[in-house]
Amino acid sequence: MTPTEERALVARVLEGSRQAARQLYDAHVARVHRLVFRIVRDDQLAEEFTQDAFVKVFGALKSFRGEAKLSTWIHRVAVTEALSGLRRLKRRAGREFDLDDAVGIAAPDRRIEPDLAERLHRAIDALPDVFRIPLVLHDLEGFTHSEIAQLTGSPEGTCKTRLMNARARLREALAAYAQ
Amino acid sequence: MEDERIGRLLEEHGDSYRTPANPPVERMWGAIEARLDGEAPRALAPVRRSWTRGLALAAMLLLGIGIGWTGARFAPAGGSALGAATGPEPLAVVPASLEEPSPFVGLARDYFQQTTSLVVALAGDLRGGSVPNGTIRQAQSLLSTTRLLLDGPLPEPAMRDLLQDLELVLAQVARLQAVRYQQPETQLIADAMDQREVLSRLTLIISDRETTP
Repeated sequence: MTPTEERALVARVLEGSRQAARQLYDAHVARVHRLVFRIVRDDQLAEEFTQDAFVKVFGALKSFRGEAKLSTWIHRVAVTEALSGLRRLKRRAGREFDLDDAVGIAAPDRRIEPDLAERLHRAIDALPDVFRIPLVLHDLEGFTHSEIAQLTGSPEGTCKTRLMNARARLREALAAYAQ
Repeated sequence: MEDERIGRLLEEHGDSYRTPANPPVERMWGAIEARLDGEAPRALAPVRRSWTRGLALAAMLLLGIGIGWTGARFAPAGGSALGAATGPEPLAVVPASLEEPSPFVGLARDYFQQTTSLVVALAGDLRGGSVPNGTIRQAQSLLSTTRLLLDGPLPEPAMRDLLQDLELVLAQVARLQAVRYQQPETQLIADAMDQREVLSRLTLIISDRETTP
């Protein structure tokens, strides 16, 4: 979709066109859902938080100023909803959530696959959320350090350090496969 | 293993990390439409749309309580100086020996009016996902007044509890940075209002008065 088409679509959504809203949803849902799923690692939560994200997108669309790409803005909303959702769940579980929490809440991936890709995925999953989420956002989803800092509420330097730690732990986990 | 190799591995195999099965596109759209139409609450999280509407109602109740409370200071024996149609009766009867309204009462009356306006505006801002600088500045100002009132002669514990929760919300709003840095703090503010059940506690205050002979 060109920027012009994007602006036209947003305008139609803001005019109340449900068809345009559906078109916007269809254009972004797969990517948003995958992004959210990578953060929360649970099918039901990913579905719930993806819905939250789009409800928030439609509610806040009038504040979208077009300075960034629409997809960038939507993805930021999605990450915010996923992280907020995780916080709510962990608070209800009796623990304050911040990215220093060492325990994820997702079900582990129990498939037995010996190849390097699978080892890498398991090593990523084994990271504490404080390191895993910045790694996912930066190295897999392409968010900048500045964006990650804003989304997670942590200083940019801290985010960079956590990313370095994440990679160091991956190196350690995959040391046996260094070739 | 060098960092460069990790980088290459992430490039080669990162795309297949946690790739979900086909998302339930139609089911999610149905749920999104229902929420946009106000039909269905969210399964896991609080329904922010309903509490923000409730927040506006709470603001109006707050104004009614505040006006009624401060109006009692001016009531002659046997009736309200404001007339019968001015809303809820005061939470506590002020000694009739006081003939002049104290500065504290005037402060409280202004505070309730301004806080009501802020709360209504905040409800709309949170629905939109961001809080403008004007609202933040107003919250900073009202925060100081809230703390002054908490130090003053409040008529009953319920009012003190409410002011303390307002202090919490105002403090959170007052700490917000520029609009583009507000997420996820706005969510925390919404959660705080929901968890502290401002509306239901205001309702209890009203119902307690109605059952008191």
